[in-house]
Order: sequence, then C-alpha cells, then structure tokens
Amino acid sequence: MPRSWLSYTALEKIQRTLLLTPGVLLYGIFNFIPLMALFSLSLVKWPGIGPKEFVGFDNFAKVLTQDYYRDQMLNALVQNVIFFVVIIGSFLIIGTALALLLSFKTWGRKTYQVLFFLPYPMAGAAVAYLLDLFVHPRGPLNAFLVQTGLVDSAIPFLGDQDTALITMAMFYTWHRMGFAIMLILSGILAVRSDLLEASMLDGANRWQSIRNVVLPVLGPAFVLITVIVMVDVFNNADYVLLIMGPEAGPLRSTDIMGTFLFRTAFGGNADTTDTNFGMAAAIGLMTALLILPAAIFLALKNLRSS
Amino acid sequence: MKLIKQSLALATAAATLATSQLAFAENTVVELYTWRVQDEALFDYINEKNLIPGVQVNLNVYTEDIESKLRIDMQTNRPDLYHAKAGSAWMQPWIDAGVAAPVADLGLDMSAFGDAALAGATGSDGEVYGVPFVMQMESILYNKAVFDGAPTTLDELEAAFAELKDQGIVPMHVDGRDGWYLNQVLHETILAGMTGDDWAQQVVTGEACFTDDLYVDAMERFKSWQDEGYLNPNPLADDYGAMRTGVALGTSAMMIDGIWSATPASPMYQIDPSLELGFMAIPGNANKVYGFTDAHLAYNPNSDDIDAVKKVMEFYTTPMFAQLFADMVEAVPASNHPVDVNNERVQAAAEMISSNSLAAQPFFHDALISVDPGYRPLVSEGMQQLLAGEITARELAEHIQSGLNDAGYIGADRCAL
Amino acid sequence: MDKIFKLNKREQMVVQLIMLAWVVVVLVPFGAAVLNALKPNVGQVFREPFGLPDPVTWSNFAKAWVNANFAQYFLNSAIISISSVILVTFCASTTAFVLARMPFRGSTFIFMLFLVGVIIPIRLALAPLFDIVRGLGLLDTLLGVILVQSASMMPVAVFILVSFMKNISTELEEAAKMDGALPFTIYRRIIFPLVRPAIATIALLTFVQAWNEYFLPLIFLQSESNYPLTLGLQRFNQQFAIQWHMMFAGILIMMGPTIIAFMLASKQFIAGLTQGGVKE
Repeated sequence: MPRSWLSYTALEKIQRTLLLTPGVLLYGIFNFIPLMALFSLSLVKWPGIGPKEFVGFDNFAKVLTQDYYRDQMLNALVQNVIFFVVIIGSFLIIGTALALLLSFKTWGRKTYQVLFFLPYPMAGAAVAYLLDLFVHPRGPLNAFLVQTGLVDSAIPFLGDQDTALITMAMFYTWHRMGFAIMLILSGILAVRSDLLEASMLDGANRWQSIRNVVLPVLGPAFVLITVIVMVDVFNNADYVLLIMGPEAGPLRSTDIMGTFLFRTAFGGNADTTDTNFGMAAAIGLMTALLILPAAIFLALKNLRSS
Repeated sequence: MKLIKQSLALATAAATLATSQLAFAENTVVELYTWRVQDEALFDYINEKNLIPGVQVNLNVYTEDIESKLRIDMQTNRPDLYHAKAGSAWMQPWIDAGVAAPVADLGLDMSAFGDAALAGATGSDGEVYGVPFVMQMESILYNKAVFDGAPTTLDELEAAFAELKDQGIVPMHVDGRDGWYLNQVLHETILAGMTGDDWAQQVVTGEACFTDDLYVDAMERFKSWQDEGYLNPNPLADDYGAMRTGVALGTSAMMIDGIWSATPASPMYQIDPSLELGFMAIPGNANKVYGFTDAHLAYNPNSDDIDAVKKVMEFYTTPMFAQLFADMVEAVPASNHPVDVNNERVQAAAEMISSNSLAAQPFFHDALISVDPGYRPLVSEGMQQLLAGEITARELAEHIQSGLNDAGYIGADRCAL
Repeated sequence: MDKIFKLNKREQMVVQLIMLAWVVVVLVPFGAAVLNALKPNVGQVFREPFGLPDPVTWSNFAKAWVNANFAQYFLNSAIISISSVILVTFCASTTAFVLARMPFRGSTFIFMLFLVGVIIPIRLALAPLFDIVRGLGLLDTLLGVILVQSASMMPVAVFILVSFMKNISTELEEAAKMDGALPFTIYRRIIFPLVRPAIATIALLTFVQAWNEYFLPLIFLQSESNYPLTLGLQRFNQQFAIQWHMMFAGILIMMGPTIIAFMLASKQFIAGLTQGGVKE
C-alpha cells in the first residue's frame, strides 16, 4: 500500500477524526447545543413566544418553595418512581420467566416469540387509544368481568386514583414486554454451553444450573433494560398525555415528571394561558439532577464489567 | 439508500407544492388557525363561491393543541389569522409578542357589535383585538327521546331525576376527566343557574367569597345529586366523548354542556341522526344559562398578505357572514346584524343568551385568572376532588378561596379563612 | 447440556399453559378491536362489547381509510423511520468505535457529553432546538424531523454500543494493525461485524421510537402532507373519538401494515436479536 506522503499515525488520526465527526456533529447540533441552552432558558420567564423576562433563579425557587408547585413536583416524582418500579419489576420478573421458558425446548416457541413481540412495533398512540377503550367502564374488559360475575359493577380502571397509575404502567408493560423478553432471551442463549455442561457434571440440577450459571450473566441485559426504561419513563409521558391529557387525572394521580413538565411548558387543558418555558426548563434540569446518580451508577457498573 | 429516501421526500414536497399552486393560482391564500372544526364546511363554501374576492382561506384545525401550535408556527410567521379565545388573559401573550394588534389599525368598522360581544375581544389596554363572531351558551342539554319535561325548580328537576333513575337511565352524565369541562362548562353553568349575577359580580370585585353560604349551598346541592345516584357511576372515568355518547344513545338523559354539541357538525348526530336535543337553565335561584363570546377573529399584523387579511376581517363584520354563520354552522352570530333565523334552536338560544344569561363571569376576569395559581386550575382541581368524594362542598369553596388568597385576591382580607 | 433445556411431558403441559396465558393477554385486546370494528354502530359496542357484530360491517374500514388519508401518512412515517435507522446506526457505530477502541485525550469527556443526552431529554430543550432547525431552513421538512429524531437517539445508541465494543477482545484488532490496517478497515472488517447484534438492537429501538414519535413531528411539521401516522391518527381521533367502532377500525388500519411488515421480517429480527445478543 503506497502512502508515501503521510505516515501511518497521521493517516490513523485523520481517519479517526473522520469517523468521529458525523456522530458528534449530529448529536452536537440537534441535541447537545440545545440542551446547553436550557441553563439560560431556566433563568427567564417566557410563555413560548414574545419577549423573555429575566427572573434569575425565580423559577427554581417557585418550584421548590411555593406550595402549589412543590406539591405537584413531589407528587409527580413519587408517582414516577412507582410507575418505574412497577414496569421494571414486571419486565424483570415476568420477562425473565417467559424468556427462560422460551429457551427450553418448548413446543411452538418460534411462534410464541413472534406473538409475544407483536405489540412492540405498534405506535404508542394506537396502543394508548386501543387499551383506553379496552378498559373503559363500558369497554370489553369490564363487560367480560361483569358478565362472568367476577365483579359486581364495572371497575373504573382509569377513573379511580388508586388504580389509574398502575393501569398506565400495565399499558406500558403490555406494549414493551416483547422487547424485554427478547433481550433477556438473547442473554440466556449466549451463555456458553461448556459452562452449563460443567455445572451439570458437578451434579447440579436444572434450577441450580440456571441460578448459578445463567442468571449471573444476565446482568448486562438487565442493566440495559433498566437504563432504557428509566430514561424513557422519567422523560416521556406519551401514554398519559394521550389518554389523560396534561392534567394527568384523575386528581393528578397519573402525573409523572413528563406530564408536569409538559403542563408547565404548554399549559394544562384547564388553563392554557399560564405557560412558562423557563420553569419547564428548571423542572427538567432538576429531574436530570435527580436521576443523574442512578444513571451514572448504572453506566459505571456496565462499563466496569469489561 | 439515504439519498433515495431524501429525494423521495423532496419529490413529495415538490409535488404538493406544485398542486397547491395550481389550485390557487389566481388567489392569495391566507392561513387561518382554529380549533373550531365545526367551521370547516362554512369555509369550504366561502372558498368555493369566492365570497371574499381574490382570497382563499386555508383552515388549519387543531382541536387539542391550538395554543402550542400557534406559538410554534408564529415563529415562522405562518398564521395570517387565528380564532382567539375570549378574555384579555388569553390575548395578552400574543399582544406582548407582537402577533396581535388592535382591529382599529386596519380601520375596521365595528359598529355592528354591541359592548357585550366586544368585551371578550378586548385586551387589558381597552383596545379591541378581533372581530367577535360566535356567542356560546352553556346549560343543561337533554335527549328529548328520554326526557321532555320542563322543571321550573330544583325540586322538580330532582323528581325527574328520580324517575329517570328508576327507569334505569342515568339522569345526568358528567365528564369528570377533562379540566376544561369541569371549570369552563360544569362549574360556570352551576354558577349561572344557582348563584346568580349579584354574587358573581361581587366575587369579581372582592366583596363576596366562595365560602359564602350561597356558593357552598349550590355546590352541596350538586353534590347531593351524586350521592343520590343521579350521576353516572364513575364520573372520573368518563371523558367528554363518553358523556356525549351516553346522552346521544339515550342511556343518559341529560348533561351540562355547550350548545355547540347541538350544532349539525356535532358528532352526536353521527351516533343517532334523528337525535333531538333540548336545553334549559339549571332551575335554581338564578335560573340562568351561561352565555359568552366564545371566539373572535384576530390577525397577525406581520402577515405578508395584510391586504388579504383585512379582506377576511372585513368579511367577518358583514351581514352576509352573520347570515351564513347562522345558516351553516347553526350557531349564534355575535354581531347585531339582523339575521333571518328559521332554525328554532338557534333562535331560542339567541334569545336566552340576550335575555337570561349570567352577566358577570369570573372565568374571564383578569384579576382572577392572570395570577398564580389562578381561578381556572383551582376550580377544575376542586371539582374533580368533589366528584371523587375526597372533599365536601365547603372544602371545595375553601380550596378555591385559599388558592386565590395566596395569589393576592383583591378580597383576600374579607375572605380570610 | 441438552438435559437442561429438554422438557418432559408434564413440564411441557405446564409451560404451554403459561405461554398460552400470556398469548391471551397479548391477543385479547386485538381480538376485541377486530370484533368491535365490524359493528354497524356505536350502540352495539356500548351495549355488548363482546357480542358478535350484527350485521358484520366491513365498510367501516373503507370509511376510515377514505376519511383518514392513511396512505400519505404511512409513506411519511416510513421515510422518517427508515432514514433515522440508517443515520443512527451509521453515526452511532462510528462514533462509538472511536470512543471505545481508539481512545484519545478527551474521548472520555466526549463520552460524558453523550451521557448528558441520555439523562436530559431533548424535548425539554425544544425552544432552542426549534431555533436551530428554523435557522437551517429545515422546518416543515421530513429531513428536519429525521435529523432531530436521529440526534435524539444518538446518546442511548452510543452508550449501548460503547459498552458492547469495550467487551471485544483486542487480539484481532492488534493483528490487523500489524498488517497496516487503518481505522476505516478495522471498523468495517472487524468491529462492525462483531457488534452486529447490538446494531440490530439499536436499529430496532430507533425504528420503533421514530415510528411512534408523536411530539417531534407535531412541533417540526406544519403541512398535513408531511404528517406521519401518529399525527394522522390523532386527526382521526378528533373526528371519531365518539364513534368507537370507527376508532377501532382506524387503529387496526394503522397497525395492519406494521404487523404484516413485522411478520415478514420477524425471523431476521429475532435471529439478529438472539444471535449472540448481549455479551457477558
């Protein structure tokens, strides 16, 4: 290979830069720079159009000290944690169980894989509308429950502040379970067979082998699922916004950080005149700060395993 | 591969551009933003008949996110005109941003509009920022196939409720899910029917309190309907659509709603084309309906086609528009132009609005809503808690009052809890 | 080895029962949708959600299709999603390759900057982002949505890929370097093939996210001819929210092509995901 006018190291550096550039540019221009602008945005009061009024740390102060906003923030935060725990719990428990069963020589497991995965590629909006109608007091689920005598009267799944949040979490789980199953299954199938054989030779039974050989190596898959879900549920609130609207009813019982933030930036449906992008930016920065330690812990744990 | 996709996108865009220019080659097209899906047919007609010479109006309908969409699209100066909601609080951000301007700047003749109609379009500086075009009325709406009485007192109404309940029909269907319904429709209509002008006026000026017996009694009476089983079993699970579906099907007899649900574009007629809806005030002490200027046409002073904008605005002030509006949208026009209404419902509504509607309206009053926390979210939160059985009527009153007091309510001293 | 994964008759029955139970959970909402989409009016849906449609009304689908202009929306969704997948898999894998395999002074810092994006959602920074997109003249174009959508996926993609690439042993790479191979070659010939399963995961994540995204197109698109399916379905919902049988029909129409595409591609999809998959 003739490369007379440039040394290998020089070429290596050029190519390295070329490889790095597209990704950094894409992320930098359309993601990172706008994120940095958040800091200055959090210091103004701005309804999304017109002049910005500089208010210093007022937005932060209001959220942290004024009862009206602080209560909403705490409520949203606690509920967001519950939402997250329910989802991640069902992913890890049900997902691992189903993935394990699929890894056995189960009849029709290829078909099951496809069926389990079916809801995942569907649009969130379609899932939201479909399940909303499905669990409505006059919807199919309640009709079934009442007709079979399982309950006396329809259960207002989304109309009761005790059940609404959990129901929303179930919607999410129903939609995304296929993905969790596939990631865990791929982890199980990647277990080296010599390790399993050694374990069997040691006289371990099936459950012991699974517990001692399979489960430990599922760590990275669990971490991956946890990070993806955490980032998603603390930032996005599509289901709640589509079904319950920015008010996150009943009585804010489905309010999570995403809806609280949306309401601040774009107004709730009870009052569209009261919007403040600056306060939304402040809320977002505080949310980021809250999940930062958890995210860093997970990231380090994942990176250190190398 | 990426290139193919991009050129495909470009081709689509180019094709769209080409066809749209073809269609409106001779006319100026202005973009009008609205949430009023019911006006679509009207504009199809206006465009088709070329009623505004040289101007075609492209209607951009966003029923849910109109404010967000306006805020965003204003940044590229796309909207030329927009339907604005009543009250100076709604107008203020647009005025501050320089995308709303007084109609006087266009030299419009506004003599066809009375003070009541203009009030909703007036900013806090006293200038009029749009052409009001529709009056709304909120009251009890009922399905005539299952209920056709005319109760004149609350006792009579409740007797009718009891009868309907015995027949297995939900007497009164409430949407407990939507904040805008709870504060702008349900709560305000209860005020109109049960508390009356004097009290509402005094609340605005700080001389009356929500903790007054008059208000608490009214809300207690409403709450008693739920306790008696006269409301749908799970109000918080039903949204606006479910409420209207219930009444349209006749499984529910009544609802408190706006007259827009009885216009031809209302989806209730998709369910039952032969549906007949009646309306009446809540027959309490005040026995009034809630009437207000729902919307006015505002304009973007930075529009590239300000001449075309002016033409549309002028058209909105004409008798022809008022007549067309009454005929096609079947709603009550806001101007004083004599309109030949042969539609019984429009006529009756117009009469009720002019003779029997609540005059003072806390919902649109600056001092109550332009504060943090404002009257609107306080009411919708409180109403939802009331329906959920979390608080009593008195606690609802205290919730609203203490929120307003915190936000510097003018009568805070008098109404201290 | 085989013994672990083999099931005897009784175990097989139990496992089948569990599998079928989950299949029911997954399929019943679909079934309810089909059943009710065929009903002639909303009254039947309300009175007997599980009753059989009488008469079976296929025309609901035709009505929904005509009313909702689904063909155009579908094309737009496909353009946005596929372009984003290509852009993200390319940009994220090259960037991650440099960060994970060819660290230099400051590469950890760059990685940390990407982590910032994992933690703070781009939706928050909508206002500044909007200024940039408008400044570049990309407002109301599919390209604008594609770039924003792709950039929003970059942090997670880079994060996943870096952790994958760090786990690959250096032997092959060292040998290639001895032969004078340059980064381009190492990336294309050695690393990329090895992380293919991770790339498949990212492609899938990106596709699903782009396909489902409601918010970004809402903000960055104005003309209806550019709308993707998510905005289209919302339009449809505004019109038919009260007509449940029509809503069910619309939802099924929207899902139909996705499900068919998925069925056709499911073998490769699942193979890609499960082949090797997440490494120890």
